[in-house]
Amino acid sequence: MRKMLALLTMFLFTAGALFAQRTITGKVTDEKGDPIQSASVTVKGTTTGATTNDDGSYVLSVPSSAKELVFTSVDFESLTISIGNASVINATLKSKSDELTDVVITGYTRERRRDFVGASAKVESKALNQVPNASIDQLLQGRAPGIYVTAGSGQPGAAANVIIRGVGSIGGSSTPLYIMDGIPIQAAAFASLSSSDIETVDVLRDASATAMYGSRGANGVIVITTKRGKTNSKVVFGINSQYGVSNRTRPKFEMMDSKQRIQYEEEIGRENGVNIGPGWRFSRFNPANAALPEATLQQYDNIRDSLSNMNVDWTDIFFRQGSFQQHQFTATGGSEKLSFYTSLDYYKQEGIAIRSNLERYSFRTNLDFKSDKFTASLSTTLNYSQSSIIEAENTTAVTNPFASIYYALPYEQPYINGVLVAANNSSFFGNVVTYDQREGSTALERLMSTTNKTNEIKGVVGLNLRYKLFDGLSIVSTSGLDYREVMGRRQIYPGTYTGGQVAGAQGSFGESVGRFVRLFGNAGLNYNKTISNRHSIDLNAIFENTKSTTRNFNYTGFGIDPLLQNSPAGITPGSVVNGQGRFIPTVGGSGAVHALQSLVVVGKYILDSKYILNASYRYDGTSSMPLANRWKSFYSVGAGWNAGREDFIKNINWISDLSVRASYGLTASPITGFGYMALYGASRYAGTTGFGLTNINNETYDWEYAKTFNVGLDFGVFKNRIRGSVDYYNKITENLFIDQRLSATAGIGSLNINAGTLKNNGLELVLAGDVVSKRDLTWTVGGNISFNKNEITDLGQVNEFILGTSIIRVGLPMGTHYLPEWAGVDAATGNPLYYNLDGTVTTNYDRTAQSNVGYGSWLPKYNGGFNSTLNYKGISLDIFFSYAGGNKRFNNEDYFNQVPNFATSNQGTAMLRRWRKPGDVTDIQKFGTARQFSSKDIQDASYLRLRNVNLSYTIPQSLLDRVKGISNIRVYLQGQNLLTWTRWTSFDPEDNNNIAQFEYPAARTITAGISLNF
Amino acid sequence: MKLYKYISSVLFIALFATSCKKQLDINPPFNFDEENIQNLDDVERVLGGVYAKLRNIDYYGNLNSSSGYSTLPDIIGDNFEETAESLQALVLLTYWSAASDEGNIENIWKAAYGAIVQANFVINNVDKFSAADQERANRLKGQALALRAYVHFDVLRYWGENFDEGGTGKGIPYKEDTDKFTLPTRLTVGASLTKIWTDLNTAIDLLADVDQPVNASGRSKIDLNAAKAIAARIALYQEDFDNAIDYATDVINAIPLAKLADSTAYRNIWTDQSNIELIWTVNFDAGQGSPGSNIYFPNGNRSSFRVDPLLRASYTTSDIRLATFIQTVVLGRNSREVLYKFKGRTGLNDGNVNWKVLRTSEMYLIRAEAAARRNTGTDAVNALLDLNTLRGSRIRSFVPGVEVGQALIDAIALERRKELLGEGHRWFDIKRTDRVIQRNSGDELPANDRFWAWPIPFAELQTNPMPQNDGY
Repeated sequence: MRKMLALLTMFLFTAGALFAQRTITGKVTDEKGDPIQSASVTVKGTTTGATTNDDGSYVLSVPSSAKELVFTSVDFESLTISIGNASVINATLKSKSDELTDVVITGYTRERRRDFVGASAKVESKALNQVPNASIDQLLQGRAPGIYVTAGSGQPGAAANVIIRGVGSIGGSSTPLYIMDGIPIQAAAFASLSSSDIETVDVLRDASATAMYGSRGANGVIVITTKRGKTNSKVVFGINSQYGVSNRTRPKFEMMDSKQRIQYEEEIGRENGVNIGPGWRFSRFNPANAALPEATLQQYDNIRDSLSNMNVDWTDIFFRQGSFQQHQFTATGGSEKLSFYTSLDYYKQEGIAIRSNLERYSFRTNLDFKSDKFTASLSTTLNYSQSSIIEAENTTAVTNPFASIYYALPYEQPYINGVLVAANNSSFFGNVVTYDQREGSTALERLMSTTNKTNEIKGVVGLNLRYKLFDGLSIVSTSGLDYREVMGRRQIYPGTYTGGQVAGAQGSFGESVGRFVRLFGNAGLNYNKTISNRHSIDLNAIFENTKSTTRNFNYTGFGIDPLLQNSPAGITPGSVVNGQGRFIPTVGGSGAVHALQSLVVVGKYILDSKYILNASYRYDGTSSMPLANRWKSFYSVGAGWNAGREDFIKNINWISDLSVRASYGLTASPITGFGYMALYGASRYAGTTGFGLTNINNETYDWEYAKTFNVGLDFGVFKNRIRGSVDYYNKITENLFIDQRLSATAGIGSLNINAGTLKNNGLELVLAGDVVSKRDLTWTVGGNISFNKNEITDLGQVNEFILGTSIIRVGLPMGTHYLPEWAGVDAATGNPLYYNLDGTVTTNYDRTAQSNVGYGSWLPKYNGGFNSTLNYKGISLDIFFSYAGGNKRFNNEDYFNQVPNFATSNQGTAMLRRWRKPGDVTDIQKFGTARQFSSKDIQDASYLRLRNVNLSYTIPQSLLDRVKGISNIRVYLQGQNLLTWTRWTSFDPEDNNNIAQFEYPAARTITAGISLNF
Repeated sequence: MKLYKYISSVLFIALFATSCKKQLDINPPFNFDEENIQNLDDVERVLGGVYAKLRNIDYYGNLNSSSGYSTLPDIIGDNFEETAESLQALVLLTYWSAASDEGNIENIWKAAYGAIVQANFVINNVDKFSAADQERANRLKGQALALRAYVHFDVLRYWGENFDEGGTGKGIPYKEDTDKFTLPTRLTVGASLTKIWTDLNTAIDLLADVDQPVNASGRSKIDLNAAKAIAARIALYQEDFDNAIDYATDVINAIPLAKLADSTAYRNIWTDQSNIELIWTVNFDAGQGSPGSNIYFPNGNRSSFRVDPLLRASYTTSDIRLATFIQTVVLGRNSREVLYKFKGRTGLNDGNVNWKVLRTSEMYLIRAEAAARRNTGTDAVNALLDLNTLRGSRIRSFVPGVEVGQALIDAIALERRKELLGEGHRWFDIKRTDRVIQRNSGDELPANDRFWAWPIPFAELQTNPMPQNDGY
């Protein structure tokens, strides 16, 4: 074969020399066979060249010396073809696939990025596939500008909190809309979906993109596109396996060990006269022991000594090394008309805390049929997952194991004579005497005598049809189903201490079923035509219907028979004994329905591939609004200018690409439910049904409207080696739900009225550059940063209201902390000091009178990510960082580890430096003084995190040629969450709320994997 | 042919996807709109919802809430003292320092009006359907009116300046409609009482003419006896001794006191096994809460308040109430006496019991006090007789007392504390009498303290401006 080519080339070269000047014609197309207009065709090493027409054809006169033609076009990789003696040279250009030049998928349209006038960012499969994290939303962190992603919990499968361009609501929703292959899917329910099937995620941020979604678009739209097969390609199988381990990350605070603790107890007894434990109870300094004989005191010393040396590592009891494995099998390929992609994915993660895990089976098949006139795309996925969950997480309750790790005393041994002794159950075991509060043991007992499991079936089916009626006009339809069924099971075993606490004192067994179904369908017309090679028109008019139904049902039975404790058969049916209900099971349920009907019109006009005008209109009707506000219009207008295509810019050598765009539009935040109706719900009274008023009617109930202005610039310089984009936006959300307080005599506390306004404006920058671009060595770096300024501008009838330790006030951002300012510890008395509003310092604490702002908000001022990709031959190293800055959070963990009221629980070593005598200069107040909520516990939660490192090696092709059948082998080593730089002293600076309360901490995961194709 | 095939399939799917005409007219699946209330059956269930609202955590309540009208009046009075086990959630109330922005005060205020508005829905709508069965309508409306009067009186008990008949002191707003925007003005004490009596008198008339007994079994609803018992209580508060005696007498005749021999039956009252002496209870079925838990939470064995030691000492060992009300429970290595009255139903330890709103013994105490204080004719004799009857049915081998004059009044007051311990009377009893608290712990509340009339919640003043009580 090679010989033949060489011969052929030689022949062509000689033949070419025979002619002095000749004409070459041809057609330039993209991979799909669509013509590429305005591509340039030049003779290599000369300025001789031509440009393709709208149908991609060109005509070029070449001198006889010409040997090669170079085809270049924006968005495509350049291609060099030998001329030889051919007179027709057709070129197929490969589209560039980097983050800035691509296709934008909006769910209704598919647009070339250079024709797209909105703000969007694309996250590529590389960032999403084979990452050891079960929830897709978490993978978006730092990957795209304008999106702030925080995980609220490290529990396997936990969803993230996703905010696009700032919090846009006070009492409503800030959750973006998720679309997968054209079908709207439930937010925060991704644990069952395999992220390895995802090809791209488009994050749509401005109105020109989101107004197509009208009443659901205000919080941004996240469009997920899964992998599909290619027509005319042979079948390729892929196997991807990885294994790994996870370990916990450590908080920066330290708790006392037994020695410190016993000494602390004695000091508190001596100095403050408070008995907080055996360190004082058995102290020789304790006046109560003064009269005891020396022999007893000697015995007491021994008790103290043995307690001092009993160091129980509670973190070892509740935490473990987690494990991770994932195995994926894929097959993809296609014939002339039919192509397919199918995958099976097994994912298993054992959490770093005992009793938490996730196991998942995902199946996907995507089928495409394509003929001249008719195309059909079917996307199906069905997934099953089961997980075991730790409850009470993210609370300060003793039942939260992550809190009890720290509450537990270091000399608390959970097992006494091999039996777990929890608080209050010592009588079970012959009244053993313990000198601690058994807080760790109680949490452990609870963890071991209860279960909390869920299993989930999640399916998404989407069918996309297109039939070309005649040139340019097609009839289109998308329909589908999003289905999720979660079955939960909670058990409390009989015969355990916890089992004795429930009704009937013999354990409980409960199950719940929650089902979500969303039916979706749309149909309409698409008109797409280029007229006179100058005017390109794309018009869509679509009618759409969405209906979501949620249903939940649950029961809990009591009086569990230990032999059948794992099934409902163990439940003792309720009966009435002596007029008293005994083991009466509880039954409950809830549900919701929501429907949306819409007309969507999207139009685009492009002149000379340079000037772009875009408009969309949507008319939405919803079941969640009173008749007066049921139907509303949403719209957007946008314009773009591909300046890079103007000749005067083309002449500037170093600019390879330049375009500007602007858009403005109106959208709304999604609302479901029946907030506008006067509602009665069932309430039982004395064994009969009663009806209770649950909601009062609100005739003026309306949407929360967002008006977004966006202006953006995309550029590429030095032959696109440096690429970037800048976006500025101003988003004003009006009509925000505010709880209008009603007179209590109205019978209900408040009415949700549409009265507030808030503003988010910001700047988003993306920059990427090819530092080295050689044949064997490429090094690309890129990053993004998003600044967002959030400000409440109107609250209707009031100027502020207080929410816990935060305040919602006009002129301030959402999430602003509101507490008295800490002024240190009085060195003379050890009392805590606070600032009055007038700046004077006082020992009095008055939250109403002293609370102040100025400690920031838990929402960051800026966030983003950056990455580096280095390829050397087969070796590839990807490093990815994410970060957030300017966010302040309330550290309730510090509070609990230092509060004297809970001194019988273990405390932080910080308490060892407490004020003890006049003159002590310290930040820890005297023991016994009230530890109040103040600015002291507000900490900077800014962080920089080495989120992902991936080192891979692809076996060279030359080696593989010898192995029949295998076309590609790649081995890799991957680290997740490896390092975090932060001043935050608690578990994890990243969280989805303003207060840290012993959350399930994020894990550090290291995996090794192999992927092969054959 | 091929063309039609494709077009028709696409159109068919489009049709399937976008059909269903009335799709947006959806009703919530687990609630219903007010307009759906169409007959007396529906109204009766709305009335059931009014009773259920009295289970609100800030009305009769639950653990970790104010339980405003169940145990709170005892806690802020002098029947109890706080222990080290307390989580101190109620300190601002317990030590009388709460101001108008105190959350519990606002919640207790709100809980009351929440029930009132729903009662108003019954009162204002029942007549639409009364043609079907006037006597049944009477039964429903009578209860709703009695509830409205009763709950308003509870509001007056905390917020009113006093209970003077025709008094010009500051009373309460009286809500008689269901409109969310109408703002009832704050009436004088006298005008408030007039409204309460209008409702209560109408209720008594209506409940006398009903289609069937209000309570087929149990005492969970306000029947004629309960309405009269409420009237007796209110009459005593406003020192209308004639009416207090008359109404109390009616109730005592209908629901007599248990005999001493029935000491088990007396104990069974507190485990909801017996209806004796019960006039009206607000029922807490399994899982619906534990109204007495703020004093002693049996499930978690937390005794936040212990019985005042002097009061505790006044129970003799021959008093059958002692073992029922107070018991020693072990906590860790210590043991202490706790309020055991609301411990739970038989065999249970969850504090889940019905709240006993009105009992016959209160009627004896009302009649005795009214007579002793009216003190005309044979009043003193009758008062002593009632007091001795009550004591004689509680204390074994009781030697009838011979108190007269102030000693008699004091003895009745003491018996009130002992009999109604933890039942939500003490604060109001002090408020309507000498207004002085001198706790064993040394805490003192003088008669002129502002706290005797609670502050109108700050949030209420913002939304419905009205005169604030003095001192706030």
